[in-house]
Amino acid sequence: MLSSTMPFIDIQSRLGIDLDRWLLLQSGEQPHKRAARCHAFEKEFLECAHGIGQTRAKVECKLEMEDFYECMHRNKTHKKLYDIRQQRIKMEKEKSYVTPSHHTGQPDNTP
Amino acid sequence: MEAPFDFTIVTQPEGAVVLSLVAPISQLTCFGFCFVLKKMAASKVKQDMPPPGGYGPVDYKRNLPKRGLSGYSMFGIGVGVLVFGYWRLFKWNRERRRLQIEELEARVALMPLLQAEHDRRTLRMMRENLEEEAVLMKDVPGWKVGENVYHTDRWITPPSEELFNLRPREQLLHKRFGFQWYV
Repeated sequence: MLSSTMPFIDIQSRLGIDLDRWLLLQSGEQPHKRAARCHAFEKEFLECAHGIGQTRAKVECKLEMEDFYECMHRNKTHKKLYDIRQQRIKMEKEKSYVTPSHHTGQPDNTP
Repeated sequence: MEAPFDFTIVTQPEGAVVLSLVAPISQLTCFGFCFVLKKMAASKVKQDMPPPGGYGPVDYKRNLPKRGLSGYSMFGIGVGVLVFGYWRLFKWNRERRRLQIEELEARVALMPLLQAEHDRRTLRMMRENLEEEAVLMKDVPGWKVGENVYHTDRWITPPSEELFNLRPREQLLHKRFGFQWYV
Protein backbone atom coordinates (compact mmCIF):
# COMPACT_ATOMS: atom_id res chain seq x y z
CA MET A 1 0.00 0.00 0.00
CA LEU A 2 2.70 2.48 0.93
CA SER A 3 4.69 2.35 -2.25
CA SER A 4 8.34 3.11 -2.78
CA THR A 5 9.79 4.88 -5.80
CA MET A 6 10.75 1.57 -7.42
CA PRO A 7 8.13 -0.92 -6.30
CA PHE A 8 8.30 -4.60 -7.00
CA ILE A 9 4.58 -5.29 -7.33
CA ASP A 10 3.04 -1.96 -8.23
CA ILE A 11 -0.40 -2.54 -6.75
CA GLN A 12 -1.59 1.02 -7.21
CA SER A 13 -0.86 1.19 -10.91
CA ARG A 14 -2.34 -2.28 -11.43
CA LEU A 15 -5.55 -1.27 -9.71
CA GLY A 16 -5.49 2.24 -11.17
CA ILE A 17 -5.88 3.96 -7.83
CA ASP A 18 -3.87 6.70 -6.17
CA LEU A 19 -3.72 6.14 -2.44
CA ASP A 20 -0.44 7.80 -1.54
CA ARG A 21 1.36 8.46 -4.79
CA TRP A 22 0.08 12.00 -4.76
CA LEU A 23 2.27 12.83 -1.78
CA LEU A 24 5.47 11.03 -2.70
CA LEU A 25 6.92 13.39 -5.27
CA GLN A 26 7.57 17.12 -4.85
CA SER A 27 7.68 17.44 -8.61
CA GLY A 28 4.28 15.83 -9.06
CA GLU A 29 1.02 17.66 -9.45
CA GLN A 30 0.53 20.07 -6.54
CA PRO A 31 -2.71 21.68 -5.38
CA HIS A 32 -3.34 25.17 -6.80
CA LYS A 33 -0.44 24.55 -9.19
CA ARG A 34 2.10 25.92 -6.71
CA ALA A 35 5.57 24.58 -7.37
CA ALA A 36 7.64 23.18 -4.53
CA ARG A 37 10.72 25.00 -3.41
CA CYS A 38 13.10 22.30 -4.65
CA HIS A 39 11.11 21.33 -7.72
CA ALA A 40 13.99 21.96 -10.12
CA PHE A 41 16.52 20.05 -8.05
CA GLU A 42 14.24 17.10 -7.69
CA LYS A 43 13.50 17.04 -11.40
CA GLU A 44 17.22 17.12 -12.21
CA PHE A 45 17.96 14.32 -9.80
CA LEU A 46 15.15 12.12 -11.05
CA GLU A 47 16.03 12.69 -14.68
CA CYS A 48 19.57 11.62 -13.83
CA ALA A 49 18.69 8.68 -11.60
CA HIS A 50 15.72 7.19 -13.39
CA GLY A 51 15.91 3.56 -14.41
CA ILE A 52 19.53 2.91 -13.52
CA GLY A 53 19.04 1.40 -10.06
CA GLN A 54 19.92 2.71 -6.64
CA THR A 55 23.55 1.55 -6.50
CA ARG A 56 24.45 3.17 -9.79
CA ALA A 57 22.42 6.29 -8.97
CA LYS A 58 24.37 6.90 -5.79
CA VAL A 59 27.58 6.98 -7.79
CA GLU A 60 26.55 8.69 -11.00
CA CYS A 61 24.08 11.25 -9.69
CA LYS A 62 26.06 12.32 -6.63
CA LEU A 63 26.12 16.02 -7.54
CA GLU A 64 22.41 16.26 -8.24
CA MET A 65 21.59 14.38 -5.06
CA GLU A 66 23.79 16.68 -2.98
CA ASP A 67 22.18 19.74 -4.51
CA PHE A 68 18.74 18.34 -3.83
CA TYR A 69 19.55 17.64 -0.20
CA GLU A 70 21.15 21.04 0.18
CA CYS A 71 18.04 22.71 -1.21
CA MET A 72 15.81 20.81 1.17
CA HIS A 73 17.83 21.10 4.38
CA ARG A 74 20.20 24.01 3.62
CA ASN A 75 22.85 22.52 5.84
CA LYS A 76 25.81 23.93 3.95
CA THR A 77 24.17 27.34 3.65
CA HIS A 78 23.49 27.52 7.36
CA LYS A 79 26.96 26.37 8.25
CA LYS A 80 28.47 29.02 6.00
CA LEU A 81 26.30 31.74 7.50
CA TYR A 82 27.17 30.57 11.00
CA ASP A 83 30.88 30.69 10.25
CA ILE A 84 30.59 34.22 8.92
CA ARG A 85 28.69 35.31 12.03
CA GLN A 86 31.19 33.71 14.39
CA GLN A 87 34.05 35.36 12.52
CA ARG A 88 32.33 38.70 12.84
CA ILE A 89 31.88 38.25 16.59
CA LYS A 90 35.53 37.27 16.91
CA MET A 91 36.72 40.28 14.95
CA GLU A 92 34.48 42.63 16.89
CA LYS A 93 36.00 41.32 20.13
CA GLU A 94 39.43 42.06 18.72
CA LYS A 95 38.16 45.50 17.72
CA SER A 96 39.29 45.04 14.15
CA TYR A 97 35.84 45.31 12.60
CA VAL A 98 32.93 47.70 12.87
CA THR A 99 29.51 46.80 11.46
CA PRO A 100 28.64 49.14 8.63
CA SER A 101 25.59 51.34 8.99
CA HIS A 102 23.38 49.29 6.70
CA HIS A 103 23.80 46.27 8.94
CA THR A 104 22.81 47.97 12.16
CA GLY A 105 19.15 48.34 12.97
CA GLN A 106 18.57 51.72 11.37
CA PRO A 107 15.60 51.75 9.01
CA ASP A 108 16.49 52.14 5.37
CA ASN A 109 13.84 53.85 3.28
CA THR A 110 15.72 54.16 0.01
CA PRO A 111 13.99 52.40 -2.90
CA MET B 1 -52.23 59.62 74.66
CA GLU B 2 -54.60 56.77 74.64
CA ALA B 3 -51.83 54.30 74.44
CA PRO B 4 -51.89 53.00 78.01
CA PHE B 5 -55.65 52.50 77.80
CA ASP B 6 -55.71 50.61 74.52
CA PHE B 7 -57.33 47.30 75.27
CA THR B 8 -59.11 46.17 72.07
CA ILE B 9 -62.45 44.43 72.28
CA VAL B 10 -61.12 41.56 70.22
CA THR B 11 -58.70 40.57 72.87
CA GLN B 12 -56.06 38.01 73.09
CA PRO B 13 -57.04 35.10 75.24
CA GLU B 14 -54.55 36.10 77.87
CA GLY B 15 -56.12 39.55 77.93
CA ALA B 16 -59.58 38.06 78.51
CA VAL B 17 -58.25 35.85 81.26
CA VAL B 18 -56.51 38.79 82.86
CA LEU B 19 -59.64 40.90 82.65
CA SER B 20 -61.80 38.14 84.09
CA LEU B 21 -59.37 37.74 86.92
CA VAL B 22 -58.98 41.41 87.43
CA ALA B 23 -62.70 42.31 87.12
CA PRO B 24 -63.84 41.39 90.73
CA ILE B 25 -60.94 43.32 92.20
CA SER B 26 -61.08 46.16 89.77
CA GLN B 27 -62.15 48.66 92.34
CA LEU B 28 -59.29 47.67 94.57
CA THR B 29 -56.54 47.73 91.88
CA CYS B 30 -54.71 50.65 90.33
CA PHE B 31 -56.22 53.55 88.56
CA GLY B 32 -55.36 52.37 85.06
CA PHE B 33 -57.52 49.27 85.04
CA CYS B 34 -60.62 51.05 86.48
CA PHE B 35 -60.34 53.62 83.81
CA VAL B 36 -60.17 50.92 81.11
CA LEU B 37 -63.25 49.07 82.33
CA LYS B 38 -65.17 52.29 82.38
CA LYS B 39 -64.11 53.08 78.82
CA MET B 40 -65.07 49.58 77.60
CA ALA B 41 -68.55 50.10 78.79
CA ALA B 42 -68.84 53.43 76.99
CA SER B 43 -67.19 52.23 73.59
CA LYS B 44 -66.22 55.70 72.63
CA VAL B 45 -62.60 54.62 71.78
CA LYS B 46 -61.49 55.48 68.33
CA GLN B 47 -60.72 52.19 66.75
CA ASP B 48 -59.81 51.14 63.27
CA MET B 49 -63.07 49.59 62.17
CA PRO B 50 -64.23 48.42 58.73
CA PRO B 51 -66.38 50.83 56.83
CA PRO B 52 -70.14 50.58 57.41
CA GLY B 53 -71.65 47.90 55.21
CA GLY B 54 -68.45 45.94 55.21
CA TYR B 55 -65.81 45.93 52.61
CA GLY B 56 -66.47 45.51 48.94
CA PRO B 57 -66.00 42.18 47.15
CA VAL B 58 -62.39 40.91 47.11
CA ASP B 59 -61.01 39.82 43.82
CA TYR B 60 -59.49 36.43 44.58
CA LYS B 61 -60.04 34.49 41.36
CA ARG B 62 -57.12 33.78 38.98
CA ASN B 63 -56.47 36.52 36.43
CA LEU B 64 -54.37 35.27 33.52
CA PRO B 65 -55.47 37.34 30.56
CA LYS B 66 -54.66 36.24 27.06
CA ARG B 67 -52.53 38.90 25.54
CA GLY B 68 -49.74 39.46 23.05
CA LEU B 69 -49.01 37.58 19.89
CA SER B 70 -49.55 33.90 19.55
CA GLY B 71 -46.63 31.51 19.51
CA TYR B 72 -46.84 30.85 15.79
CA SER B 73 -46.76 34.51 14.90
CA MET B 74 -43.79 35.16 17.20
CA PHE B 75 -41.97 32.26 15.58
CA GLY B 76 -42.88 33.67 12.20
CA ILE B 77 -41.56 37.08 13.14
CA GLY B 78 -38.30 35.53 14.34
CA VAL B 79 -37.87 33.52 11.18
CA GLY B 80 -38.73 36.59 9.14
CA VAL B 81 -36.08 38.67 10.87
CA LEU B 82 -33.54 35.91 10.28
CA VAL B 83 -34.36 35.63 6.62
CA PHE B 84 -34.17 39.37 6.18
CA GLY B 85 -30.78 39.36 7.90
CA TYR B 86 -29.49 36.59 5.68
CA TRP B 87 -30.64 38.32 2.54
CA ARG B 88 -28.88 41.53 3.54
CA LEU B 89 -25.73 39.63 4.48
CA PHE B 90 -25.54 37.76 1.20
CA LYS B 91 -26.07 40.92 -0.77
CA TRP B 92 -23.26 42.66 1.07
CA ASN B 93 -20.98 39.62 0.70
CA ARG B 94 -21.45 39.71 -3.05
CA GLU B 95 -20.57 43.38 -3.01
CA ARG B 96 -17.47 42.65 -0.94
CA ARG B 97 -16.44 39.95 -3.36
CA ARG B 98 -16.64 42.45 -6.19
CA LEU B 99 -14.51 44.89 -4.24
CA GLN B 100 -11.99 42.15 -3.47
CA ILE B 101 -11.74 41.25 -7.14
CA GLU B 102 -11.09 44.90 -7.90
CA GLU B 103 -8.28 44.96 -5.36
CA LEU B 104 -6.74 41.82 -6.84
CA GLU B 105 -6.90 43.29 -10.31
CA ALA B 106 -5.10 46.38 -9.07
CA ARG B 107 -2.42 44.12 -7.59
CA VAL B 108 -2.11 42.27 -10.89
CA ALA B 109 -1.69 45.57 -12.72
CA LEU B 110 1.06 46.70 -10.35
CA MET B 111 2.83 43.33 -10.22
CA PRO B 112 5.79 44.18 -12.47
CA LEU B 113 6.60 47.23 -10.39
CA LEU B 114 6.37 45.36 -7.10
CA GLN B 115 8.35 42.41 -8.39
CA ALA B 116 11.08 44.67 -9.76
CA GLU B 117 11.34 46.51 -6.45
CA HIS B 118 11.57 43.25 -4.53
CA ASP B 119 14.22 41.87 -6.88
CA ARG B 120 16.32 45.03 -6.64
CA ARG B 121 16.16 44.83 -2.87
CA THR B 122 17.18 41.18 -2.84
CA LEU B 123 20.11 41.81 -5.15
CA ARG B 124 21.24 44.79 -3.14
CA MET B 125 21.22 42.79 0.09
CA MET B 126 23.12 39.97 -1.53
CA ARG B 127 25.72 42.42 -2.82
CA GLU B 128 26.16 43.95 0.62
CA ASN B 129 26.52 40.50 2.17
CA LEU B 130 29.12 39.55 -0.38
CA GLU B 131 31.21 42.63 0.33
CA GLU B 132 30.98 42.10 4.06
CA GLU B 133 31.98 38.50 3.63
CA ALA B 134 35.02 39.59 1.66
CA VAL B 135 36.00 41.98 4.46
CA LEU B 136 35.37 39.52 7.28
CA MET B 137 36.84 36.34 5.92
CA LYS B 138 40.05 37.87 4.62
CA ASP B 139 42.22 36.06 7.11
CA VAL B 140 40.33 32.79 7.32
CA PRO B 141 42.39 30.10 5.58
CA GLY B 142 40.75 28.19 2.76
CA TRP B 143 37.72 30.42 2.37
CA LYS B 144 36.54 31.33 -1.08
CA VAL B 145 34.44 34.48 -0.97
CA GLY B 146 31.06 34.19 -2.63
CA GLU B 147 31.41 30.48 -3.02
CA ASN B 148 28.26 28.80 -4.22
CA VAL B 149 27.19 25.88 -2.03
CA TYR B 150 25.46 24.24 -4.98
CA HIS B 151 27.15 22.50 -7.89
CA THR B 152 24.88 24.15 -10.43
CA ASP B 153 24.80 27.66 -11.87
CA ARG B 154 21.06 28.07 -11.76
CA TRP B 155 19.62 31.05 -9.96
CA ILE B 156 18.53 29.89 -6.51
CA THR B 157 16.34 32.29 -4.57
CA PRO B 158 18.26 33.11 -1.40
CA PRO B 159 16.48 32.19 1.82
CA SER B 160 15.67 34.97 4.31
CA GLU B 161 18.35 33.72 6.70
CA GLU B 162 20.98 34.34 4.10
CA LEU B 163 19.75 37.80 3.19
CA PHE B 164 19.41 38.96 6.79
CA ASN B 165 22.44 37.13 8.10
CA LEU B 166 24.48 40.12 9.19
CA ARG B 167 21.54 42.23 10.27
CA PRO B 168 19.92 42.37 13.70
CA ARG B 169 17.71 39.42 14.43
CA GLU B 170 14.55 41.53 14.72
CA GLN B 171 14.67 42.26 11.02
CA LEU B 172 14.71 38.58 10.17
CA LEU B 173 11.86 37.88 12.55
CA HIS B 174 9.89 40.76 11.12
CA LYS B 175 10.42 39.39 7.64
CA ARG B 176 9.34 35.93 8.66
CA PHE B 177 6.49 36.68 11.07
CA GLY B 178 5.64 40.37 10.65
CA PHE B 179 2.62 39.80 8.42
CA GLN B 180 0.38 37.14 9.82
CA TRP B 181 -3.24 36.51 9.11
CA TYR B 182 -3.82 34.45 12.20
CA VAL B 183 -2.39 35.06 15.62
